Amino acid sequence: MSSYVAKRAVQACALLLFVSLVGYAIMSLAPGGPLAVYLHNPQVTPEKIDLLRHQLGLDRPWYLRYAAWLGGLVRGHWGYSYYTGRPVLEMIAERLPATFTLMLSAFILALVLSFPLGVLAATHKYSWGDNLLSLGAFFVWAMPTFWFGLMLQMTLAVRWHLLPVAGIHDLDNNSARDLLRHLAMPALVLGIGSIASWSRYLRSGMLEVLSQDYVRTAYAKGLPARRVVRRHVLRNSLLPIVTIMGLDLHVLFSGAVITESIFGWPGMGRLFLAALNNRDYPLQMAGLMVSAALLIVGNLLADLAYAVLDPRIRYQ
Amino acid sequence: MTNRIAALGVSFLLLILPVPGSTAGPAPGTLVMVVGDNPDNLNPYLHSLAASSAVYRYTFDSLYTVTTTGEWIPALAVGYTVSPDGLTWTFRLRPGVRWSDGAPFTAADVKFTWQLAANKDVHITYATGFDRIASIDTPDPLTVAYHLKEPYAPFRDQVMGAAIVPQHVLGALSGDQINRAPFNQKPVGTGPFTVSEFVTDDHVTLTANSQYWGKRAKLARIVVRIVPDQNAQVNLLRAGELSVLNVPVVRLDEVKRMPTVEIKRYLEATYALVQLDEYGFLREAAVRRALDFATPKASIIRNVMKGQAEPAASDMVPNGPWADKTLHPRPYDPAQARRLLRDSGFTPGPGGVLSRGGKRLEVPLWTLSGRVNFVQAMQVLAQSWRSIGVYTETHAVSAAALFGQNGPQWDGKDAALIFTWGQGVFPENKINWHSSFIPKDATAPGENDERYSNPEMDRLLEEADRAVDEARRHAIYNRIQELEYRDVPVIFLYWLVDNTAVAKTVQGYDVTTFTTTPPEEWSIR
Repeated sequence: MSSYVAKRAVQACALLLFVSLVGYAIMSLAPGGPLAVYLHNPQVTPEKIDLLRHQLGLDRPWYLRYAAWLGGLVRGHWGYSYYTGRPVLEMIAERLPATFTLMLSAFILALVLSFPLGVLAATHKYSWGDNLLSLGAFFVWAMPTFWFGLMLQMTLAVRWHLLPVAGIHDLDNNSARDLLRHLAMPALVLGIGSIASWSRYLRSGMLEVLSQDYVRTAYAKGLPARRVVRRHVLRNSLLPIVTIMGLDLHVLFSGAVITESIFGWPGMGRLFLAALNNRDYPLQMAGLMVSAALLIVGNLLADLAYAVLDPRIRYQ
Repeated sequence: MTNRIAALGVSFLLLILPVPGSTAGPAPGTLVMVVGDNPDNLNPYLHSLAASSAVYRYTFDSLYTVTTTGEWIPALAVGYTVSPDGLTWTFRLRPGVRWSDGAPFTAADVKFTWQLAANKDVHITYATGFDRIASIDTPDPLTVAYHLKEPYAPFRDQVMGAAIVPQHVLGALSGDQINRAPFNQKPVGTGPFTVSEFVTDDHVTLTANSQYWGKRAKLARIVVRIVPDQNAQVNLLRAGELSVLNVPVVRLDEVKRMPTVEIKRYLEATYALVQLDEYGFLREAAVRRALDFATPKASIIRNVMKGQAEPAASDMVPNGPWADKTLHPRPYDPAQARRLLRDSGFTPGPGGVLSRGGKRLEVPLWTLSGRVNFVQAMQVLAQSWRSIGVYTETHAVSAAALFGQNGPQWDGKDAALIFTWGQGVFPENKINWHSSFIPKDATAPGENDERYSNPEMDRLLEEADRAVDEARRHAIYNRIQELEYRDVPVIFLYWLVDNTAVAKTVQGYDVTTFTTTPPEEWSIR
């Protein structure tokens, strides 16, 4: 097992290196660049722009800049943001708690809601409840995140004053309850897609298992339905869902970009969106690396979870 | 299991719902506003986002400051004199001013500000006017004399209004240290408020500065929240969580219906224009004038801008001190346009398209694809120009394509470009109209992209730089505006309008094209 993890870790590093090279090349070759924002500002003279270009090292070829950036990355120095002049690592560390709080809440919310819904839908196949859940899932997939977020704001916050519109805390109120109140809407918006997809995957997985001989046997030997579902059906239909969950870790991260913008959540998604808009290369690369690392780690976690869930799977 | 989950859900809801009787909205004495971006840098000379100046304006002062009617009044200075040759500007500084950390403000700070703006190791983004300074003398701690390299009258508007930064905090730092200084997030200033908390991407809290030289601020705090989504910003206002908001046009009607806010409507010092690139027929003023007559500005303002714009006659904001009030936009008069073109020798050919000497009168229209208003205005304009016999194709493209080397400005053919120009409220338009500012390629200096060239205009612009006398300057700029009107180097379409919603609980707040009322006079019930 541990040798397997070590092997995967080496693969992950190679993959990250490749992603960084391709990402850096595309970023550098795209038209525009960090100084484009100044080009049509009459107060910034061309001499000033040349000077900035030199100060930021943008007058060197991109592969030299990449080599320098990579060298820094390996030594734990991720460079300085072009715009704020602050260390990139420090800026990320500042947002990390907010983003992880949001991602984790959305993940837990999705877990807590999708399982009962999936089980209910599968055990009551084609009932009105199942049909309603199917309809709901398709509706969720079809609806744009930002629209859902704004609708929640307009109803829960603006009309009924039940929850705050945006932000992470009220002024002068740093209580846990206040955090939860601010977290409720963004976590729901971020997690709703996962709720829909996980419950659907669980439903179809369970339907497949429910028709297996061993389930019929379990029923035949007189086990109560609840126990059959929990011990024999649910556990055996978990594998596909775990794969999806592993991949969704990354979806939650990129989904956070939109959710954080709408709800004014001070997380990494917004940081990287701004970096993209400003062509803040060091920050942009950091965002790419974090996002790629999450995807790889999510996959690895899912693979490892297989072994726990299915005794037949053993990694060498 | 289902019951347990339901119980968990209900208790969670109970936890997050509001306590009955609790009130939403900001704490007493706190004014809340919002910006869309995280302020990138609160050093006035290093920032690149409007969100940054929206915050640091409360923490810094300049030598003089602009009022809501566009006049200069003393701030950190109490008066100034200009030598007759226009080369030496001497400011007398206000005594007894202290920085928010308690250190005294002196002439050394004023001199240091110039040294900072001229420091080649610092990522300076704003240095307009400072490059004209040859040296600065500080004969005593309350006197500053600027010596210019050449007479430059706009210097006053540019340097008097520039924020003064503290020498005692930044003076000993190297350029690279200044680029990364903690000062950039928590500046030390002389303004009515100081930054007491900066939570990245969430909010900046400004607290009344106890050291402030003017009247102590009536507000205890200004909180600037950072929320990128414009719709979410309006929702914040509607939920009562904001005191002031610049309302996007699409949601203006809805906000106007709110009983708790008042709307302040004012011009932005930015105009929309149709830039006429003079390569072929467009080099003739009569042709440009005809196109101006065929431009239905009132209809564009009414139908495309939904009334959120004002007609433009020149490049000086119409409610400002520099606008020539005798000028009015050319009326929409297609008959007059046709007459002008016929008198210039154009005759209608196949399809009614005008031509002369075997060449069709072709003026393609170009604008930015991302700007819906421009694209719509372009279609209105194209219809109208076609109706007088101009052959007009329309193109909506990205900014890089519009202004880049492969764009319509550099192909040697007539073209008309619709975009906006942030003119500001003070006259300094030499880069727009002087023939020496006709750029040679897309990256060359100069903004006279229309390639307008008129010896009289060149002479007036040079004279305006030298005219230190106010009355003389006014006369020159009036003549410049007459020439803009007569020669139509660009078609002035409209000035943009802003709408700021202000909660009725806020008192003493007003906003115009030039600025707001002084923040220390704002209060909240």
